[in-house]
Amino acid sequence: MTQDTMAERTFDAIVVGSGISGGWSAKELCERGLRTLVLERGRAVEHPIDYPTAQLGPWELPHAGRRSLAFQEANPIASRCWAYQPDTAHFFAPDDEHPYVQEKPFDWIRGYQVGGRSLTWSRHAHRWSNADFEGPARDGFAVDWPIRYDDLAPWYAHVERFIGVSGNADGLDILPDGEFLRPHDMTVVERRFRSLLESRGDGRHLVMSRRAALTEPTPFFTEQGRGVCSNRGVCERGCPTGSYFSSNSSTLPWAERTGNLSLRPNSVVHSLVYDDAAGRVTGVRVIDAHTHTEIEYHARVVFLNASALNTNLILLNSTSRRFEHGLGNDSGLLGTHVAFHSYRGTISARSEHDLDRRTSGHRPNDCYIPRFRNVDRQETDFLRGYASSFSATRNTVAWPSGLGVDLKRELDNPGLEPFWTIYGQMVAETIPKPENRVSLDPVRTDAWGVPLLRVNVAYDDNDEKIVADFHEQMSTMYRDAGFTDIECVDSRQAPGLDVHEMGGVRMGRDPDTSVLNAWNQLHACPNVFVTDGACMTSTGTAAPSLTYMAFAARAANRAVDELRAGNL
Amino acid sequence: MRARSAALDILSKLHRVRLRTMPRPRPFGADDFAFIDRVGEVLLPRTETPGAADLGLSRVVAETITACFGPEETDSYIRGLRIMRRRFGRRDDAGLLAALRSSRTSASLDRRHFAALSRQLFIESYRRCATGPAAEQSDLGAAWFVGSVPVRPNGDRGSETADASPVARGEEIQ
Repeated sequence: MTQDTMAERTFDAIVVGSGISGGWSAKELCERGLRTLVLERGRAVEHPIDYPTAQLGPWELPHAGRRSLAFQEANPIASRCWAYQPDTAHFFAPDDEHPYVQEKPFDWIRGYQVGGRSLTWSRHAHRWSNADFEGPARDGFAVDWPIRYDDLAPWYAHVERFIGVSGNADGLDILPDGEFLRPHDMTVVERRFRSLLESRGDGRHLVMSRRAALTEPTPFFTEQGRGVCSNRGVCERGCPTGSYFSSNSSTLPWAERTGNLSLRPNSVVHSLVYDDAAGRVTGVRVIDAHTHTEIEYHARVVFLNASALNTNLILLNSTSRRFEHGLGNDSGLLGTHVAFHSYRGTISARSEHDLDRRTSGHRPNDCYIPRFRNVDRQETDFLRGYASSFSATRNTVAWPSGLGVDLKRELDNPGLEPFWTIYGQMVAETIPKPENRVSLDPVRTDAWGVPLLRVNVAYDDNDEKIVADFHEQMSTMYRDAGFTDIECVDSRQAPGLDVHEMGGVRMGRDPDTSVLNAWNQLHACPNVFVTDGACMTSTGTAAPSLTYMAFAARAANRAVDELRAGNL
Repeated sequence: MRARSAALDILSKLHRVRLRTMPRPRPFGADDFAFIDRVGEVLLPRTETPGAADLGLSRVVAETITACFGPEETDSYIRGLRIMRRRFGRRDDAGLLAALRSSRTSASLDRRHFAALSRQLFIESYRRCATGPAAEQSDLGAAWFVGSVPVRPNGDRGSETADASPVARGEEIQ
């Protein structure tokens, strides 16, 4: 794409970032008739031709798919992420090409390509509840969210209908139901555990996790070019059938067919251009990733969907006479109150019940225990709580005992382990705090002349108490279920590895205590919208991607309405 | 079980301390590769289906040892290999098989390491080879997961199609 004239570099809207929220901003803006430019700092990835490993067997990968030492040493930060493997590495940003400063340990996992991390996300698609949106006000941290569940509910439905979410209508306030495709099947042990939790009568539930994967065909998904999931379990390689939702397979092609989309990969956004006289942002300053030349693109509205921390970086780097300390930063809060999800706690066990049963096929999903601590009232000495994944699987024998012909026979006809393997992992809310912040390095820049981001984010005492409580409560439930060999692990992993970084540009009602309003617009510059993780006032316990998508869709439609009303 | 695991863990840590002070062995030579070939044949012989040698697994195992493990583990493996090669270098497959078995309980740490890691890597490589279980798995397209299927009394895993899950049938398990 070449733009030589001002007219060719002028659009109705610019979206910075093509990941899970940027794709949604683009789709909605294009569908509403806005000529929209999507800027992506990474390379082009076209569905499905740019998924080079999607159909490879392990024997076709280096070292049969194992991670070599050289592979890990080349990208030590990305290597801490379980999904970073020889068959997926091309969807992770190389550490050495994209440096940042860790004032405290923070593993920043990034996906710099068209589609961003929507190619490798875990596909959990859970709605937030009022318990999440009311949390800060009830418990006295951060600031009150300027919206409630009812404000977002129609947009959750709008997104679910488009992306396809498998799930069961469970009727729980803590995990509102959505518009679901056929749910995956629970195993017999999971169903027993569910019955046990229900019998406690204290608000603990086990549900099938809601996942953005197509479990049944519909004409609408066929029109999108997407097919039913074939349960191969290699999702992070890119899904050639588009069965799980990604920007590449779904929102970007949908935007493109309107004729209103222009997509420019290899475009590193340096900053937004603010016109002091006009009192508005007029465009985006881009560094071409290959030529390092600077180009300006212009639009009436700009959506920032660069991923939470990069959106912070772009705003902090967008200085002007009016905004000396970053665009929209009148409150001085830009870059502060960064939070994340704590995944430190895991718990494993065995069950020796139901050994006359097994499972069949592969399930690209697990079960989910929604938050049950401090939901209706404060009951612990820590704030908020945690959800947990849960699975009970009957595996074939991992390490056969035979040798020679016996070993061969056991491998060719594997028997079953004499137990079910139980596993759960915590997803805990963390409290946004002013001291958990990002800022710009005053001296160092990256290869494109953009200041390095300094990350100063850490756990606190509340997080430590939550890990302990997770292990205590889950152990009790496991023992009550008759599980054995219970083992609790605190990984003590650094923040960031959860890949759910949030905040820094939080929403709120008051411009003195927040950066964005209830429609994701900068209070001080309303033609800039932030609808990625940076907008989050608190973290909740549900995976945030569905909420980002709902925010993006809601804000994009608001932007079009405001433009047409002459208010932007 | 846990006490044994803890004891093995302590032994392993002591072994690592010892390894750090030892001179590094020579890298793999032709004789070493030939011996890994033999170990593969002994562990996974040709039967009615291809064995380790037919499948070229020893090359995968040797490359994996070199590329995927740290110097301490690689060195220990090479030392263990040479102990075993000196002792079972001739074509005494039954003796080698017995040694690989007994090495799991009573042998030098290097020899045990060699036996355990060879076994682990040949098993993994067999599972991941083009004609192994991984290939079958990749052909499973569109198989819907069923959460509860009966296991036949003889321990056989049974047939997915013959045994519909109570869950799939809509029955509630109490």
